[in-house]
Amino acid sequence: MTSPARPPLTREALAALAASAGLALTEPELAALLPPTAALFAALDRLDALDLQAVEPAAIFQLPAE
Amino acid sequence: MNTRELALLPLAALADRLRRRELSPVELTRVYLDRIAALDPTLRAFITVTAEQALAEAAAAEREIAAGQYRGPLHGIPLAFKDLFYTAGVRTTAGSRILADFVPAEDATVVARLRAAGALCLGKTNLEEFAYGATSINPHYGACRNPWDPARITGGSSGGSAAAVAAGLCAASLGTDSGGSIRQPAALCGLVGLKPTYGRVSRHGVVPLSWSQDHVGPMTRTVRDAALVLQAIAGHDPRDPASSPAPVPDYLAPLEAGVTGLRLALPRDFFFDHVDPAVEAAVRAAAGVLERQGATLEEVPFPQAAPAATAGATILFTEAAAYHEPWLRTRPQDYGPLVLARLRVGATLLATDYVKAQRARSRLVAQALALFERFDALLTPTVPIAAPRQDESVVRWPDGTEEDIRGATLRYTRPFNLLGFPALSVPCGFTPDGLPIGLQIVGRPFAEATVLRVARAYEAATTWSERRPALA
Repeated sequence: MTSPARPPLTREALAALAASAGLALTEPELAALLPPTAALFAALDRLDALDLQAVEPAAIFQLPAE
Repeated sequence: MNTRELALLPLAALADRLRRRELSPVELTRVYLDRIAALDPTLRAFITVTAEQALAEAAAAEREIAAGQYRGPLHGIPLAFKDLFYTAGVRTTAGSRILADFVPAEDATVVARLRAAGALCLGKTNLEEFAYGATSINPHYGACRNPWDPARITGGSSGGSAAAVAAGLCAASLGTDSGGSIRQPAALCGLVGLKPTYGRVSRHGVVPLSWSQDHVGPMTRTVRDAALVLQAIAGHDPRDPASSPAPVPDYLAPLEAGVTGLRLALPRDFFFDHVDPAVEAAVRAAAGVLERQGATLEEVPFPQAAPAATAGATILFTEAAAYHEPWLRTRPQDYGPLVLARLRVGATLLATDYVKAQRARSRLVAQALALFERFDALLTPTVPIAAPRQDESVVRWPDGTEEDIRGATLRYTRPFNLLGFPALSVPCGFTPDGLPIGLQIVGRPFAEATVLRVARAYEAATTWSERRPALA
């Protein structure tokens, strides 16, 4: 199952994400951050084509074997 | 033999001379220290040179060998370590201002293992700030310069290690690779660089970039040297939670077995899109050499590469931002502008993006494992272009598109950090400008012996690894 792509990342949305991450960015810094972040968001949406609905994440938690 | 020729010998040849006591560790160490003094002001390969410590360690090795206590092929061999590896009592800057005064109390596991094998440390090599980049133009410690043409980059992030090995400032070096940082500078500087399987070599005591994609491996002048170093550093480490308990095979015994009967594959797509024609020609010619040596060769689709690059980049962005989060909030002014920008991208990604990338990783690893059942190794270019000039920031392709240097030069290596499969770069030719080209050989998980065997067969059939750069 694939989901509709997210709307393109806006400057306002990125500002909110940056603020929630605790980053204090100037307007020029925010403007510079927008293109690479928006490109990555768009590329991530394309991963939906892999049909990941039934797939678990690669292991990030493992207990030691006996 | 003059000191230049001596300094540029393969590690294995130096080991033979040391074992036979035709060369002393102190004499060899002095040769390298003299060359560092002469060439490093241009190359900027080192951040810290530990001359006194190296000479003391060399003297100790000399006494042991003279007393008949020879430990093996690394005994008395002078190495250099990327300044990302903890070294007890010696500062470990990670190429950063933030860790400029950090002095670890212990060695990284791999450093400790190499010391136990008798190797000694000449110093710590320059790198991209926090290993987060592909040029080794470091804003705090200077720009590494490529010994084949100092106007060009070494690549990165293990650029100082690559310059030091290529120019004969050490016998070999250790690098780290989270998106291509061993293989890409090895290719651009005409060296062998091996990224082992994820979990094969301990990451304990290595400043992290991307926990689930960080790999440690050798950078050497020959394939045999890479096998020698890997033999010393591979194996389980309980202090690395990702370390594999799989037994370590003998990497040297099968090295000369040739490729007769091995099944090799060339990818049909992705790895030959947007590539310098000289690079493509060299890689296809290398595949032909291996076919004539007795391997079978087929072209295969490899549709996992593009999504693996996206998922790998997402995971790297996110894990790096997580590690750096405290400093990102409190000391942003202490980062160089490029690394700061990359960390900020990672800080704004969503948790669901990271999990999506890890789910994609599960799917892509399963698909790649199934594909690799059909062949023993995949052959690709390591980097689509030769070393760019220091002042270049983008690659302009004939179709009018542009690609930033970091994205372009890591495009072919990054998928195998996500997958965790072993991958090695070996020299396979030169551009018309005289710049080295690398062939990437990728194997199944824990099949380093096969990857090394293919690389050695190619190296033995060609002379590319015998060429030396002008600045050496």
